[in-house]
Parts: sequence; C-alpha cells; structure tokens
Amino acid sequence: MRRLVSEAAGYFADLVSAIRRGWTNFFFRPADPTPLGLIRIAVGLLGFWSLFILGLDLHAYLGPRGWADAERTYQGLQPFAWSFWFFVPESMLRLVWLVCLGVFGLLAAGLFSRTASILAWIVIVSTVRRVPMALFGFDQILSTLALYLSVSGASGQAVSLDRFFRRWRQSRAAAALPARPGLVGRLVSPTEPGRPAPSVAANLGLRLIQLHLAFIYGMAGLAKLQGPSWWTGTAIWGTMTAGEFVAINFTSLADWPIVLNVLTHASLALEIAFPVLIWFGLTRPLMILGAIGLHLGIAVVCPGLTEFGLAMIAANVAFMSGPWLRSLVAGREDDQPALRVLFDGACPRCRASMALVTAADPDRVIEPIDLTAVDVKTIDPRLTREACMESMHVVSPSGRIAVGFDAVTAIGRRLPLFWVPAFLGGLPGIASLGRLGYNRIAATRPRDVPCTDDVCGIHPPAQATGGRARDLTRQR
Amino acid sequence: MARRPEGGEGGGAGWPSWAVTAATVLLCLHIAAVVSGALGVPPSSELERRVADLFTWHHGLLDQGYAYRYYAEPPPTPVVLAALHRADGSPDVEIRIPERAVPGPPMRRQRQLALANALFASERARAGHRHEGEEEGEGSAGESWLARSYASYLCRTHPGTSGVTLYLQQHLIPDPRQVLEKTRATGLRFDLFDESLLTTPRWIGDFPCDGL
Repeated sequence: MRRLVSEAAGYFADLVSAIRRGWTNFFFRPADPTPLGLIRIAVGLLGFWSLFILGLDLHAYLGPRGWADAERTYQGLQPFAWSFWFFVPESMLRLVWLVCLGVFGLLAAGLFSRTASILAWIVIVSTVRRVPMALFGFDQILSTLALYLSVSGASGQAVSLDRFFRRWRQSRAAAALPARPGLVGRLVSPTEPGRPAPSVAANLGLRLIQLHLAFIYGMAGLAKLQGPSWWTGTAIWGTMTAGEFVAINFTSLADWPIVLNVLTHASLALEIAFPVLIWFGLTRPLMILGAIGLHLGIAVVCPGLTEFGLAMIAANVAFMSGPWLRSLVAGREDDQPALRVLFDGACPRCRASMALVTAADPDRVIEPIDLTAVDVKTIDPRLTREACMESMHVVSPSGRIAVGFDAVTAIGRRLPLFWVPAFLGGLPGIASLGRLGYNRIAATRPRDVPCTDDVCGIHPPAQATGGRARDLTRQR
Repeated sequence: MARRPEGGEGGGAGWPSWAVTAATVLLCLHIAAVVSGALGVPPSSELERRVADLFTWHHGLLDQGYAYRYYAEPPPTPVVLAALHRADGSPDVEIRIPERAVPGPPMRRQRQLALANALFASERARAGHRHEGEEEGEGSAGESWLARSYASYLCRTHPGTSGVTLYLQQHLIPDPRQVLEKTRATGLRFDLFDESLLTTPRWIGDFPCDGL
C-alpha cells in the first residue's frame, strides 16, 4: 500500500514537473518575430479595408441614429463591454473614422507598432460593440489577432518601418564615421543584423495565435458533427447553392453527388484533424495547405467571405517558420549574398545610399563593397576600377553585372521595401530617364578630401563627412 | 516550409521568473475564458454555462467568448423586406436587405446579410418570449428594438415616408433532386432566386414614422 502511494505521488510529481517544463518551453522560448510581423501587416490591411467598407455606409452603421440605435445598442452591451463609437457625435463621425483608418495604416506599415497595435485593437473592439448586428466570423478573427498583436508588443520587431528606421539610423551613423585603419573600406551597414532577433514576446504572441486558431478549427469541426448534412456529405451543397451568398451558380453539381461528398468530408476532416496534426512537423504543411485551400475555396464560392478567409490564412502564418518565410524574399542562406554592390566609399552620397540599402536588407541579401579599398578584379575579372568609379556596379552570384541605374533597380528588386520603386524604375521610359539622371548625379558627385593634416584628423564624425569636405577646403 | 517558431535561434534573452509566473497566471485565465466562452453557448451543460459565466468580465473587456460554431448546419438565409408607405399616397417603396446587387466590394453585401440575420434572430427571440407568455411593449423583451430602430432609420433617410412595414422572408437552399428535375424539364440552369426558394414574407410589424 505504501509503495502504491509513493509511486502514485512520484508519478504526479513527475507529471507536474513535465507540464511545467513543457509549458515554459512552449511559451517562454525566444522565437523569430517574422511571422508575427506578417500577421501585423495582414491585420492592418484587413482592418483598414473593413473599416473603409463600413465607411461607405458610415452613418448607417456607426452613427448615433443608424440602423441600430446607439442608445439601445449601448444598453444591450454585455457587462464590461465598451466602445468609443457611442461617444462620437454625428458631426465628428467622419473625422474619427479617418483617424481610425490612419491607425490601421500605421499598423500595416509597422510605424509606432506597439502603440498602433493597441489602438487598432481598440478600434476593432469598439466597432464590434457598436455594430453587433452586422458582424460575422471575420470580425471575431480580426479582433482575436489584434488582441494578441497588442498584448505581445512584438509585432513591430520584424518587417516594420520601425525596425527599418532604427537600422537606417545605425547605418547612417556608421557611414558618417571616418575611415578607420584596419577595416577594409567604409562601413555602411547597421549594427543590428538583417535577421530580427528572436524574442520571448514574439513567441508568446505566436503561441497564443496558434492555440486560438487550433481551437477555432476544432470547435468549428466538432459543431459540424451535430449537423446531419455533414454526415450525409451534402453540407457543401448548402453553402454552394445559398442564393444570397454565392456569386457563381454551382447547381450543376447536383449531377455530381460524389464530388459534393468529397468536398464535405474533406472540409470536416480538415477542421477536426487540424488541432492535432498541426503540431507535428511532418503533417503541419499539409494542414496549412489544406486550410489555405479551404478558405480560398470559400472565397470563390462566397465572395463576401473573402476577408474572413484572408484573416484565417493570416492566422495560419503563425505556424510557419520565420527563417523559411524570410527565405522566400531573401533566398536561402547558401545563396546569400544575392548581390555584391561595389560603391565609392570616398563619396558621402554613395555611402548614404548604401546605408539606406543595407537598412532595408531583410537578411544578408546585399554585400556592400567599398571599391576604394579592394582590387575590383578579385570580385569579378571583367570589372575595371575606372568603370566602377564612373557608376555603381552590382554582381550577382550567376556572374551577371548590372551598372548604374540598372544596378539600382536590381538592388530594389531584391529588397521588399523598394519593390514598388524598382518595378516603376524598370518601366520603359522611366528606365531611360532614370539612367540619364543617375549618370548626371554620378558624374557630379562630391568626394571626400583625403585627410592629410592633424586638424582634419580630429574632426568629429558628424562634421567629417556629409559632402561638406569639399566646401570647407574651398573656404580655406 | 512550416515549422513551429524555433527557440534559441539567436539566443534571445529569457524573462525573469516573476514575469514568467505573472504571464503564466494570465495565460491560464485567458485560456480558461476562451474555452469556457466557446463551450458555454447552447447546446451546453449547466456546468459549462456556470464556468462561462465566471468569465463574463473577460468576454466583455477583451471581446472574447465566441462559440466558433460556423455552419454547423447550413441554414436558409434570412431576408428583410421593408415597405415604405409614402405620405403623398404614391406607391410603396420596397427595400430589400440584403439588396440583390450592392455596389462596391462583396463585403458590403455581407454586412447587409449579417443585419438581416440579426433582425431574424431578434424576431425569433421575440417569438420565443411571446411563447413563454411575456407581454409585448416598448423596452420589454417582447419587442424587437432592432426592427424598430431599423424602421426609424428608414423613415429618416427616406423623406416623405409616413410609415414602414417590415417583413421577414427566408431564402431556402434548393433540394438537389428539385434542381435536377427542373433542369431536365427546362434544359436551363436552375435559378437560385427561383420563386419556389423564397418563403412567404412574414410580417414583423408596422412602424409609423411619427411614432418612432
């Protein structure tokens, strides 16, 4: 008997210890914040879009005397529920709506991310409370995602303008430093690497989204087991032929009951299996692909649920690996750097440009090389110092060389922040104008005067560069 | 492609133990609130409802407590019909929610569908209370304030309206056999807005504009 008790006590002690270890490992390990950053962008864009659409009928939805009378809606709120929309006078409605759109814009851009994520959550919850009669699944998912983004405070740690500006300050400071002996060329890179540092806060946000998403699929699947049409394999028919929802007439599927059965059973199987199989590495991609397929399928059948599907797909990003997501734009680690950029380290403007480029680098896509400090032939035998001094050269791993304005657009195409300008710069006409402009600027660029005396040598960093050296020389 | 967020990729700093403990308590509370909120809606047990009630504060504050029981059984779609009676005696203006074609993005129409659903749900609740013998009247559970509010909005936004009569209709899902029979008989594609799929409009109430 004593042995039974002691073994039972030992078992429970081990169990508690294992649960504690598992809990800590699950929630309190640092994780790559990249997926959280991408979810932040999605929530910002979807929140902006949703509020914009409500704005098309602004007074009907959010006005004090809209479809649902504000006073009665307020009285009907559940305990502790709140919304600022109840206190916005009709005359201020459009202005407040615009400010709220701005909040979502900041969230999507990742500017003042922590504050923006909290404000965005407040806007979402306030709107949900003000228009309870116009809600559907989309609003629930968006509210949940926004809650976790704001609580974690880590959504701006990756793919954000906050991070870009911080790194840009660092790279500009590095570029402004005078040349230091022992270094090969001038520094133009930020101290913080392109890969965002893993953090516990990011992990918490991601774990909460993962758990909640698994729970949502599980509940949706279990609830469907109550419906006879999910057992008879005809439930999908009901969604595909609901006249008020669908955009395409799928009634010809009445001739294909087996197809309807397969779609119905597959949807149900996915929702029931998701909460279990999503936690295993081998089956995770299958679950994510299935979920994406399910939501895209719903969007095709019911266009009004497109945003719901996008929100669910965004939530699924929480299960994706940060390094893998980053490699989609930055390439595999083995393929980096994707571009080696030869710049004139003695030209302040060139250093400033490179500081901008390196700050926007999502990993180690760009390798800046100060051509004044290396033999360019070692980079590529076809390069000459004279040509490189004339305009910027970019060398890809395949040996392709881009020069001048074409080099600029080649760099832009590799950096997500500059995708749009790079695309525009590649358009016919704009490219020709760009080349002309680039060549003119490159030909007249100022260069540092070599430091030859003691007075020059003691200039503080901020005064030593910035293109003013030539003017100072003239004044002397 | 997809992995769980990996720990220790760059040696991110851990949290102090007091922060871990505090976060653990909050996490446990939150998880319990989310789970109980989803389980506490009907059909549910007395125990599930009681536990869910413990977290009403959480659901109210954080907008949680949803059931997530999407499309447990694809239902017919509610449609609201409003007849706006003109003060000058001209023919009634008919308004349908959701409109057949709403200009702009599909989500705009989806919001209208939600409104029709809400009106339908409030009418169903009203019918339920009636069945239980409650009296009707302003402010009581016997009246659908949402219907009154919607009628009031229509009065304000359509000058010259003396009153509004609201009806509810259901847009049914066609039976596959009915679709096959009709398609084979006519040789045409089945119309999802066929009259046979729309139930007879059920009267909700008359709302004179001067009384709203």
